[in-house]
Amino acid sequence: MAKDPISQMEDIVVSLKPILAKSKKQLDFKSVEDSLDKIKHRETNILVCGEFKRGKSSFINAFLEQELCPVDTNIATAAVSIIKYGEKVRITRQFGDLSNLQSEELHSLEQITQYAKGKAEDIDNTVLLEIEVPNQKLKSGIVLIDTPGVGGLDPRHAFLTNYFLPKADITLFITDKDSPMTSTEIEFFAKKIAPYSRQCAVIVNKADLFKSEEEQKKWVADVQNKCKNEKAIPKVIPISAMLKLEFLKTKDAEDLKDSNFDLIEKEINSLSENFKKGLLLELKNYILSLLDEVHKPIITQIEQIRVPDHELIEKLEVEVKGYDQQRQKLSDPNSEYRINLASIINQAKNGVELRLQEESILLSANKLQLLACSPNARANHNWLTQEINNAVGSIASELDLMIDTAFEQVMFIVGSDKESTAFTSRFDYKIKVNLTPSEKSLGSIAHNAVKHSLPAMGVTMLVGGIASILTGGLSLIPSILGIGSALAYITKNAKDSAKSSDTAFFVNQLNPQIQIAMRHLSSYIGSRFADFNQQLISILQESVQRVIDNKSSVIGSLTKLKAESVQQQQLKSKLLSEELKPVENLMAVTKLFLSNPFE
Amino acid sequence: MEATLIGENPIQQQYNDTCAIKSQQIILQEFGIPVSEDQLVQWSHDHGLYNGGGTNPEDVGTLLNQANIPTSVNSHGTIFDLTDELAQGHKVIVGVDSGELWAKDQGVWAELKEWWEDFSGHEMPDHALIVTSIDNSNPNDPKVLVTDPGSGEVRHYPLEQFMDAWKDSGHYMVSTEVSPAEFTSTQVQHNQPSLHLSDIAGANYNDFQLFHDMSNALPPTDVWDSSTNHDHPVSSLMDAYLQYGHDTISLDDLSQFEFYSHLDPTTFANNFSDTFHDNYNHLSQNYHGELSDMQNSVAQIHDPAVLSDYFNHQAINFDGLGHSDLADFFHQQVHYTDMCHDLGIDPLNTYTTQFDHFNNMDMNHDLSVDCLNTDVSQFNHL
Repeated sequence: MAKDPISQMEDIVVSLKPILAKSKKQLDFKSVEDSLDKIKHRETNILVCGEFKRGKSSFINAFLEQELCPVDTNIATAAVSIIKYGEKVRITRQFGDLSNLQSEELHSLEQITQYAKGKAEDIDNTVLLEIEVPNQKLKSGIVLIDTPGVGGLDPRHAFLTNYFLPKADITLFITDKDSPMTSTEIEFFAKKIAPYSRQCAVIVNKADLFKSEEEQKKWVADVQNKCKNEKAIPKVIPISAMLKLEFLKTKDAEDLKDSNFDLIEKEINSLSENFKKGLLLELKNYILSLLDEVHKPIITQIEQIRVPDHELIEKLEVEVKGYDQQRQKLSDPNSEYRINLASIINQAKNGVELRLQEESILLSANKLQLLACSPNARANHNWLTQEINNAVGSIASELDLMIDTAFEQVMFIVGSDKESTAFTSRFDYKIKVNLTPSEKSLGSIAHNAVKHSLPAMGVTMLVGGIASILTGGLSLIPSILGIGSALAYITKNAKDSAKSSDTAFFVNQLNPQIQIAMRHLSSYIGSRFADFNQQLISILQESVQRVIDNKSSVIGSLTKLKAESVQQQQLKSKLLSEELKPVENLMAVTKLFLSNPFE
Repeated sequence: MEATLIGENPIQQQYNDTCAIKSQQIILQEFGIPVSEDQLVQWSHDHGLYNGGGTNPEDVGTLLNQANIPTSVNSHGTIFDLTDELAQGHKVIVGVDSGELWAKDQGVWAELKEWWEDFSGHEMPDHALIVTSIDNSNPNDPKVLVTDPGSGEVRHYPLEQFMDAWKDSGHYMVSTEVSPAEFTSTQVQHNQPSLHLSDIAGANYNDFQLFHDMSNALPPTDVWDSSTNHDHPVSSLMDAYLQYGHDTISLDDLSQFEFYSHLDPTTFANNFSDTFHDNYNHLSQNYHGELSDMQNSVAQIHDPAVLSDYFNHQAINFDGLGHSDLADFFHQQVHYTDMCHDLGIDPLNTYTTQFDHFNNMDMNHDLSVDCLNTDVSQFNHL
């Protein structure tokens, strides 16, 4: 029987070893081996997200066939649960300040309820529960990430979801039959899931409530219509977690069939397989590029012996000279190449900063106002500061998500598997302010800005711009709003809409602090782009150098060949042909891997 | 398409006439191509290769070619051709008469068999399957392991039973020209980076090559009169090979076998000439100095007996130096030279022809540069 794709790739890698060793490419082989190792041990992270009360936790329980996540319709999930396979039950709780989490081990599954649901203070500031269970559904390496609802006010929830979104390999967005998709859900799907998820599907829970198949079909079509984007129409799967859980009690096969969980399991397996296949295909292309580097010099020499091109060495030397000039241009910050690159990166940065301005306005006005009104704010002054810090963290994580995705795409274009920089030094500025009200400040004017939807300048132009610069289209510079125009949106209408003097005081105290935090965030964005610029240049320099080295090595072989007699050349040709056999066999076999011309 | 759906089993054909398609699907999957039988059936239907009536023998392999797997067809293969393809890790589909294989099977397959017989007539090749390997561990009971999409089984058949079934297609075989990475990786892991197995049924690959070359110098199998009591020449050669592999006979004993009287020495010498050429080229990657020396030395030898001694000396010499591949190569020349002596042909012709061929390419090549310059005069006086 045919082996699974990972084992087949292992065979390719083993066969590659002597070929690369012969060409003194042991370092490249090591990196191939490392990549395969990463893929082999890579878990598939499935993020389950959606609005409150759509049944995310029930869905997970039904999928796992184990009542792991507490289900209480009145209390919302507030902490993120990461559920993975383990030989025995092990639960770790992470809690406290997001920038400095503490952790402790819990002793029983029952304690999950205590820490997963409720307000931050009720769950003792639990942020994360890492749950390992000996559940067969997870044994293949599936990791489920249960997240808090998306539409709530609690900035911590948004922060957590934003933080985990880019870690998802598969995103399952849970909606239900109880209510048509809300604008918040549609917006969340369009802004957070569609652009960033690698694989995704929309689940319609409570499908048992559909009165007819007709109604279900119509509903699915409607959800599809709301979630479609220029990239794709997502898969929409109606399920009933309730019926699946019912089946576990009654063993009534009809319940299982109607729950549609067989389909969802198939879909999860297929999404998971697709995800791993994607990683394997990237590795396949990398291996082919390495084999090509071995193959080309041999073929060039054989061809040169067969039909000598007396100008070939000169032609190659001209090419090397061209690449060398390119390398020099890359090193010169004043070169047109670098200026264009910087310009494109700068424009992308402007796009992110515009988004920052937008979020800043929303925070200074709407969110701050709402949080300041909360009884919690008066009861506990630290609470409000912490919530605002969480909100700032949430904005930072959102911007990181935009930047990371764009960087990842650019890295893909330049063929680098290196992760972009600054992963270790994330934004961690914290507001510190004394919010004990004084008599003087009471009745101060609160600020209220109009909620404004700025054109959300994504960073897609970064990808397009760099793609064009790499292919020589230097003139393509997308026009973009300047950062200055964004300032126009920062309109702080001095309307006193504070419901209490305390609220006004809080707003007044915190607003300047938020502005300072936003400046720090802006500078953080600047440094991330600067780092990226530097990293991109060095990757480009490395790849140009690699081309130069490869071509120079061919020139060396050809020059040597030129000095040899016709007879020696003939002998050489035979030797090279023999050397070529295993290379061509492996190239042919590698090209076949995961190809399917019959689809 | 009015085919009947049979059932689900990863190696079993889903329809009663898609054996060739299923065999190709199994091979495609071994090459890492995740294709389903239905996709192939649909594609074959769309391209006029399948219309609910099986696959024509000449179209077996088309699906592999479509996926960029090159294939070669041998419409009169021998067991040695088959073994050689398997030894190189190639995947092989053969045409057989399913009745010969399934005759002993009853029950669910009776209906299927009947359908086939109705469709194609008796004693006809009506089925395609994959030959996975040949198990020669017991020289008295060699077995062929097949992956049979018809029965959905991977099972052994006695060589004789398999040969009977294969005979009905005229020994038709389609082989891939590349081997899946699984084969090359196993070779690399066993520190044998060559593109074929080093040992076949107890004999090394070089000795197998000699037998393979002999097999193609025997009369075509389909003109052999099986009504006589004589042993089939290829079967007789196979017997000889298995006994040789198990050290029960030496090459000197070959003349006792039935096949020997049917062997065409000139064809054998021509076949071996190609084998020598390939081996010489392959080894010249690592030993071109040593081989150039061989060429020089052979040019100075005029007596086949001396030639054999020279080859033997070199074989022992390189064995002592730890160059087992080169030693095996020289052993092969010893065996060939000795066989030529028995068959009454001059082995020097083979070498002279090949070296002339090389020299035409390497005209006036100054071999002294990389030659060991062995003094061959000692052999001329032996």
